[in-house]
Amino acid sequence: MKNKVSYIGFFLVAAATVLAIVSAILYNSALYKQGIVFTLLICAAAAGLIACALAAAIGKEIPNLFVIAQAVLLMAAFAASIAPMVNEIGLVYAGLNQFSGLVGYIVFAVFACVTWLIATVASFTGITKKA
Amino acid sequence: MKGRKTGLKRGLAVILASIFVLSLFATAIAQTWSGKINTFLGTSSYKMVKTGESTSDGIYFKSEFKTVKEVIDAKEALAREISQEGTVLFKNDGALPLNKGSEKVTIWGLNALAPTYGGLIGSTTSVNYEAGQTTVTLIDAMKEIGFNLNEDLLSLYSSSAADVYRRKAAFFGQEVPGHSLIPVFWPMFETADSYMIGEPPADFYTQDVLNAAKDTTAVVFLSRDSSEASDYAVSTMKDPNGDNFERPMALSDNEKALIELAKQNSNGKVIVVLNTDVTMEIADLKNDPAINAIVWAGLPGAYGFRGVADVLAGDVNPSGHISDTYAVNSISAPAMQNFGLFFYTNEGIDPGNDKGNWYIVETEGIYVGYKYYETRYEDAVLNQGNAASAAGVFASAGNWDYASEVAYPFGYGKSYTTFEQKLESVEFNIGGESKAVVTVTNKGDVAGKSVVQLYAQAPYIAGGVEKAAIQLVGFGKTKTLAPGASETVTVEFDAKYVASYDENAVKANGTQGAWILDAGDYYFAIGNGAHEALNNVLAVKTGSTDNLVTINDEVISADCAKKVTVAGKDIETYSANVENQLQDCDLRKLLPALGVEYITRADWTKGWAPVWGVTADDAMLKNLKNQVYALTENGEGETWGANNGLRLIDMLLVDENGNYAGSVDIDDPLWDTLIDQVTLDEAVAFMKGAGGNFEPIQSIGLHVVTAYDGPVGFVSDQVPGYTVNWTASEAGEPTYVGPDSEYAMWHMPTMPTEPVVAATFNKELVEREGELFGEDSLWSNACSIFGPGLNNHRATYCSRNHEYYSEDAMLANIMGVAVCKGGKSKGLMMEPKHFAMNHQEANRSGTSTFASEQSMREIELRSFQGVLEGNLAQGVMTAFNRIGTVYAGAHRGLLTGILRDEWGYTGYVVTDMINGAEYMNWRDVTFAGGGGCLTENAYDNSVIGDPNSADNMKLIAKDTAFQQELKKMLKYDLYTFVNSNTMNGITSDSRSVRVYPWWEITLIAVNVVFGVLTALACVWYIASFFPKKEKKPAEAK
Repeated sequence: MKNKVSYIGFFLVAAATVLAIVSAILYNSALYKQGIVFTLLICAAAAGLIACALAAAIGKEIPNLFVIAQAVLLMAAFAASIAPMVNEIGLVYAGLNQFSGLVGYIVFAVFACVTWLIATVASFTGITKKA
Repeated sequence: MKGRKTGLKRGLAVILASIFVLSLFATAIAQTWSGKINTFLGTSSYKMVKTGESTSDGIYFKSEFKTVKEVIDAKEALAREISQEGTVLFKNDGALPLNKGSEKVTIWGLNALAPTYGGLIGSTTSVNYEAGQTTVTLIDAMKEIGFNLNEDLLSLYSSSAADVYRRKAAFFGQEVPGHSLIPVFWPMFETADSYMIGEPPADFYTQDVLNAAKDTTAVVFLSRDSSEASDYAVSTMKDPNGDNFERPMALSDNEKALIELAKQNSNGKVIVVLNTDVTMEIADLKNDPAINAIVWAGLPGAYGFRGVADVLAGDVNPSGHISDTYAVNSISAPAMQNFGLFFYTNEGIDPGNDKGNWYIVETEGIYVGYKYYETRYEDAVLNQGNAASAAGVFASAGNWDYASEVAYPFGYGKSYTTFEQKLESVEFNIGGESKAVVTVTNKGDVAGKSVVQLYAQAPYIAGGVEKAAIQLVGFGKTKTLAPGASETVTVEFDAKYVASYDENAVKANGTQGAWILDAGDYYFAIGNGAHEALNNVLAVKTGSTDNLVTINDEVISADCAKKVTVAGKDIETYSANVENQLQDCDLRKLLPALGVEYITRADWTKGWAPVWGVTADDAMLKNLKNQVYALTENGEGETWGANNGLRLIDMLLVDENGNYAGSVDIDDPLWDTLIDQVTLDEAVAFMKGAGGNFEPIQSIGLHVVTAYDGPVGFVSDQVPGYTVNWTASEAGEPTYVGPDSEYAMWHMPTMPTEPVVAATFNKELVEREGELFGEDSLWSNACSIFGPGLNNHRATYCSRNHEYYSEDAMLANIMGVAVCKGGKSKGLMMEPKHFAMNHQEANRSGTSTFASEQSMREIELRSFQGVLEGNLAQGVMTAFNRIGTVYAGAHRGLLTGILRDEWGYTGYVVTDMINGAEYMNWRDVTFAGGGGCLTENAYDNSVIGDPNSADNMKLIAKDTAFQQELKKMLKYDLYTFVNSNTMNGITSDSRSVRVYPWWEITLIAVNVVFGVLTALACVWYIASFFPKKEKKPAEAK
């Protein structure tokens, strides 16, 4: 039996996909960057695209696996982005560096977390549901 | 219903997997910062395990003290003694010493209540008040020795009415009293705009308070603070409280008002005390007859004001001599014309990663500090080189005039008695030992010590190699001489330090660049400072004193100078292994079309222009964008991980009592055999963090090696107490300080700052300071300190001058040798910093420093030469700045050409704190002989990445040349460790074992729990893919 597309799920996954790309763009303005973060974000966006495509094409539960992958990749991207900023956060806390140095990263981090949240909600709703 | 259940399973799997991922990364971050976390929590990731087979106690360097309290007391006493001898009496019309029994004293100046003791960051003076430690203000110190102080004004200063005027800087989230400068780590793209003097205006003082001061002696306390990562700005700084000053070093309106009030409301006796390591503008005070005395206290550390009080009371006769020139106008030195913020015009240099956007050009050449003022003075007297022109005039009316430009010359200092010094003889032996013999007689009626300063003048050939008219070559100090007593002081010096560096000289072997001693007349003179010595030279040289200028109480005497004639020019004696190494640092040679001029004796009107708007050419730009070295595939690879059965302890030699007696010679092939045992992974991990907590190398039995910042003692934000570095497994060591000790959390950075130390001109005292740093090392289990600071005071607006001794290279050289000798005797590894050319804090990271090779060698490098050439320092820290356009920590000419090949230095090299910028990368550092990298977590931030990453390890495994440099680094580091108290506690049966402190176990447990939960959630979710078999009714039945 073929599943049908969950429009809420589809919308959430599509939104998470777009926001993952936006996050990757925003990450450019972080003071210290790691290539792996870009890679993970692009993979997350790709997972979202695949989920959408498969949901429309074949239905079933398989697209939901990509929804799960998208959420986990987004969290991995966010987690990987923290390490290079730890020193900077400490310096700002100590008053040795300006807060403005963190702004780019904070904007990215907020986007990344919101994106993860959306992807996580999407994983609950699923991108396909039983017909 | 089933769909909802599946959704719940998916969502749960996502949440648990996300937490698992987050905890994995958090663990990785925590492990990267394990050194800091362990220090903070008092835990350790390694412990020493012994099998009991060895009979050695493993204590190769022993303490001379029985308890840590004895060390603390000794340091406190020495700090007082250093300040006693480092306090400089500039002016005294007989008002000093004060009679503490009969004179009531009013302390004027709000800053006296919260003086500046030291700097911030590296040289933070810190005590742990909660643990019972104290700092001592001048007020406290004067009360301690029985002065009767006027409490009325002190009460007003202590009241809330004064709160708005108090200086306090934000630092590590706290307000630090006694400081206005705020240290910052970001590049100072804009000049600092705020500096609070910290004195209230005249209307703050009530009439009652003024009346109460009328019959008392006034001690006016003036202060300027200091800090790492900050600089004074000449014209942009304003006082946020509305005080006004022309320049931060000039007296402010409120300070002038303070002095006037003190003059009007006193018994007619006004003493000014200067609490500053930057040279203030005090000519008005000097020339004011109502100011009876001026005393320089510097920044004397936690306890040094006791020494200042002793001098004021006359309990000690002052014998300090100032280590910098006090100019009338603080920006009159040529170096000040090119100090601050200068930017390349080139586009495309990334300020975040490259940090290559800014530069300074040291157009002053060798004419730094007194070498400028005194050399120009001689040329003005002899009417040479347009010296008496209007160029570079800042305080003279019309043409340049020494007396108008200088208030107190380098090396000047008064006493409460009168000493007569006579230069008996001078032996000047090129290639041999040189010495001067001086007879000192106390002609006054007060006992005291006298400093003998020996200066030299080499013959200057017009238009030839630049030469200062006078330069310090050595000094000595008498014991305390009773009135009428005499002492003969022999000042030994090295003729190589009289030589000049000629970049154009060609040696017999055909190489270019050499230390030369021209044929001609050399003059050697003694004097109370550089100016008196030069006047003595000129008296002999010209046979007259007619045109000579005195600005204080100098006595000109031809008996105090001697002439030695050198028949032939020498370019070989001090030039073995010497050739030009720093030609890429001279902007005149890099961009000749720019027409940059340096200060020259040939024409004093040249070299004053600030060098704005330099455009780097392609070759310079390549360096500024950090395209220096690349890892390539070459060679057959080095041997790593061999099983040769050696341990590091096998390289240590001990005497019959089990004490340190040296090590296997560094040229012995046994070192190579040992290092072959190290695995490549270990070597790379060691290189990555070879600075703070050196990574243990288990394959050869190297335990944890720790190094912390200095130079006034181990800094408290890194070693906040004697007990912090000890683990229970080391409790058997005789210098172990347990957490239950009363002094466990006492802070160590309490000593006077380096300008005060330098002003003592007392080598024995400074060597003792090094010994007590060594004792701190033994009792705090910290093996290495980033100090002394040996950069020169190029410009007084550098707010980090307090970490360096002097504007004079020889004074820094000799003091550095003394303190390192003391530290080494206790096995402490001392790391002079910042090698080299770190002359300003503004934009210090990555700034291109351009200078002539001659000036670099004669001024900056000479400060370091003594300790490094003599291998008295065990490490050396490279600077944040660039040398020319190449990062100082990766400049092969400096680090290999000069440091290793010329000086024969066998200690280790380490970078300053890696700040995440690409220009300080491990690849360039290691290739150039820059040693290891400070800050173990540094490369998380960089594009080049962690050297231990799989990708980088693959590259390193192919690059034999890089591996060879790694091995060299290991040899220097390990050789140094074996010759230090790092080996204390290590015996032939000891092993360094990795352990997991509670916080690591907790993190691992969290990972395991969430890993398992994630797996279960996944299984639960995947199971839903497979529909349960419907039970058939029959089966159900």
